[in-house]
Amino acid sequence: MAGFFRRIAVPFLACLLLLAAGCASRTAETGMNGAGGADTGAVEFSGENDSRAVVTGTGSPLLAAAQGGAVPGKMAGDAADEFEDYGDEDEPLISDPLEPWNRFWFKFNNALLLDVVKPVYKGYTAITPECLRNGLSNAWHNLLAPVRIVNRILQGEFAMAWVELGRFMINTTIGFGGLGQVAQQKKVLVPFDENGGDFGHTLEVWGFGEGCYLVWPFIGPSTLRDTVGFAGDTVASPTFWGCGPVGPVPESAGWITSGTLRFNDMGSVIKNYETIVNSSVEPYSAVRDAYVRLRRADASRARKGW
Amino acid sequence: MKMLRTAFFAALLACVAVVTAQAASTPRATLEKVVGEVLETLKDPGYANPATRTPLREKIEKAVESVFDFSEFSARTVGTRWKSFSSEQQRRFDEAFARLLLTTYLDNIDGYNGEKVEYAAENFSAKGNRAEVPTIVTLGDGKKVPVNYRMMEKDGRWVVYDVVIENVSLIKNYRAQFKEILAKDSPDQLIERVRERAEALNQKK
Repeated sequence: MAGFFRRIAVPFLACLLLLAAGCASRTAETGMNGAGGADTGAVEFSGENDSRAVVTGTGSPLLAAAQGGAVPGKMAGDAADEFEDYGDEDEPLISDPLEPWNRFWFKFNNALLLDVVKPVYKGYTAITPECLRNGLSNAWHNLLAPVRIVNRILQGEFAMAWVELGRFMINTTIGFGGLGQVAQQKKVLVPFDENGGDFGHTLEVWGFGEGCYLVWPFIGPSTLRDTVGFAGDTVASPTFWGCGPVGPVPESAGWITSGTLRFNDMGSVIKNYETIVNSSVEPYSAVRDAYVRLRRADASRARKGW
Repeated sequence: MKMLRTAFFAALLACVAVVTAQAASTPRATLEKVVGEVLETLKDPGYANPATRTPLREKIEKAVESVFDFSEFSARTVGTRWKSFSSEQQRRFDEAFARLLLTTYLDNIDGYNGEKVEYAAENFSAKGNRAEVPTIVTLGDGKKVPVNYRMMEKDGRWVVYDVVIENVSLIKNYRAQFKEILAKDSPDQLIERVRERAEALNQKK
């Protein structure tokens, strides 16, 4: 079973990388052109009026990639005209040309998460102590630290890479492989943020546009850029290069480890998802809007070094 | 007669003074007062017990309604189509949407778990009639969530017209949903769906 997945997954990810590299470079180009031509100021796919005003004035390609009205030194999303009444801002946040396909997988994931994963996870929390779940969660985040370190370096965020490296070393040694988080967020020199240390944001820093909205089975909401990012991060993760055909650890062990640890982290995923879906009248649009805005917020935080 | 005129004038002055005093209260101070009230009520041990919760819950709803202007929320979420709603539809939508927002956000709270709210200085718009109050909410488990309140001056006082949680604007999120629905369905169908959602949440309790 694992071998089958691996055989399918590797070429699949490779294809995605190739495909998206082609598409994404095109969107990035238009994005930059838009920002250069001051009066159009159209950043491809940014779509939103308020971010446009910010991007237009500066004409910088880096800011063109930065959506969500993030200007260094200002609060996230407080572009001057954000205070307007949102009167006739009726452009979509992100293009969604594959909406029927996306809606199909959204329904599928929704049922999977709420009807299958949630009850199983409930049983899991009943038989495991909280400290074990927290420990495993810490260990999982610690295991993925190398991925974040590489991404921070690729983003030019050396201070953040250094903090991640320090935390990784301390938690791995004194914290027994990260089970205990010894390196806590106390009196830090550089504020530490796990969000934004992924390849999707690295691509953004490099000037790639976010592309259209996509929903993947099992993985959930994504964009073209985040899909490539996900593929890149998967290949960069220790459970990939440490195991299976590439590394020394048996392939099945890698799948079991990453599967278990991912499942262990589902608690917060279920909770956050339910909060959005329960309060929404049209869940598909609500999740799409929330996903895109949250990702843009992570990006602007990462840029400002929060 | 002259005395009467003086008295009238004095009364008028007093009114003006009251109104300006209210307007002078900053958006941040207005918000802090109400959020403080809500937190105090949550700290009441009676809130954790569902049997004694109802009056406290009503108190919180009153406090929230005093600063959240739900009619502003409604008009903004529906957007350009709002004007095509009849005033009767607008009223029903207001009611249903306010119910949905209150139910969603208050039902998630079972009691006080050590939540804390820190405020930063508000940013004003160029005209000075809009403001954004940035806050950081520290949840019971220590997680910090940035929550920004968008406020506007209305009838001499500051009211909230949008809440932005981790960069996700409540108004814009609902606007995306309502736009999708209104593309196919009538205003009445939209109102019905909003009402049904709030009801479904109420029954889940």
